[in-house]
Amino acid sequence: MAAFIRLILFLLIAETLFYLLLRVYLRSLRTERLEEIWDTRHPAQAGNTPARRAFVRRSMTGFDKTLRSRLLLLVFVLPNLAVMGIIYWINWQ
Amino acid sequence: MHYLKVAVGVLFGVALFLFLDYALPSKNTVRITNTYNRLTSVTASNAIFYASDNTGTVENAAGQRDVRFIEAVRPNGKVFVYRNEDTGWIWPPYFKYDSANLQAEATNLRSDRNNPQWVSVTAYGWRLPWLSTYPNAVSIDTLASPDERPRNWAASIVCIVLLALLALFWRMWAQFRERGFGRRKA
Repeated sequence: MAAFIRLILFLLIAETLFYLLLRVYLRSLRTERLEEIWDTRHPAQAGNTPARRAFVRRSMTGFDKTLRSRLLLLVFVLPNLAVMGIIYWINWQ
Repeated sequence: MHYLKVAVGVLFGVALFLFLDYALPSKNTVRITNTYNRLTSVTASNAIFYASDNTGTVENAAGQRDVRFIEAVRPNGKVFVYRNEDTGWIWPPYFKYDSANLQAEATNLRSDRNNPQWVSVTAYGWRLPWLSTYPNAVSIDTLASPDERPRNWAASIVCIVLLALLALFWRMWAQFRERGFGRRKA
């Protein structure tokens, strides 16, 4: 039982770490894309201007509610499903 | 410095290959000839090739463990020996706790040379006679003939997932190198 709890804890820690890394990565990708959009729309105010920073901040506010960032929660589901799948295939086949 | 980097890279690649070769399941076509338990001494030198402690393994005072074994013959006539141990919830992550059932299955599938029943045994690990290590059998499937070559789906899927993760981490690292955690400076 202790080993089982240790497995769950270890899996949870790994998933949380992976989730945080992926979240930073996805936000970074989106920020970069928004900056590019601003630069093409406003060639006069291109570069790291206050206007662009405000635009990016405004556009990123709802990011956690988008489908992409909700799908990110699958990080907490898929490995557990894989573990259950392995348990099934090894022991009940 | 350049040669050092190359050497370290090559060593790392070899270590990774050996690790995957050990931990991923492999399939072998064999004919099971015998199944038995034997008191086996698990010493410091080969302990990592056996199941971890407290996976339901019992050791006596002399440090010997009662391990189930499956003896087999390959189509080319060479012999092979599997062990059959629970891995429990510990490394490697096979979560196997049906070794008693597997042993019963193996015993049921025993056959002799005149009337062979070929089976495909899925196992992980290495047979190193000088260290007394044995691959751990995970599952047994019956085959119609020894020429049948069942696909090793599990290992293929794990390799694909690992490659995808590697590609993802490579992209993440590139993005981090380009932008860091904050905003772009330019």
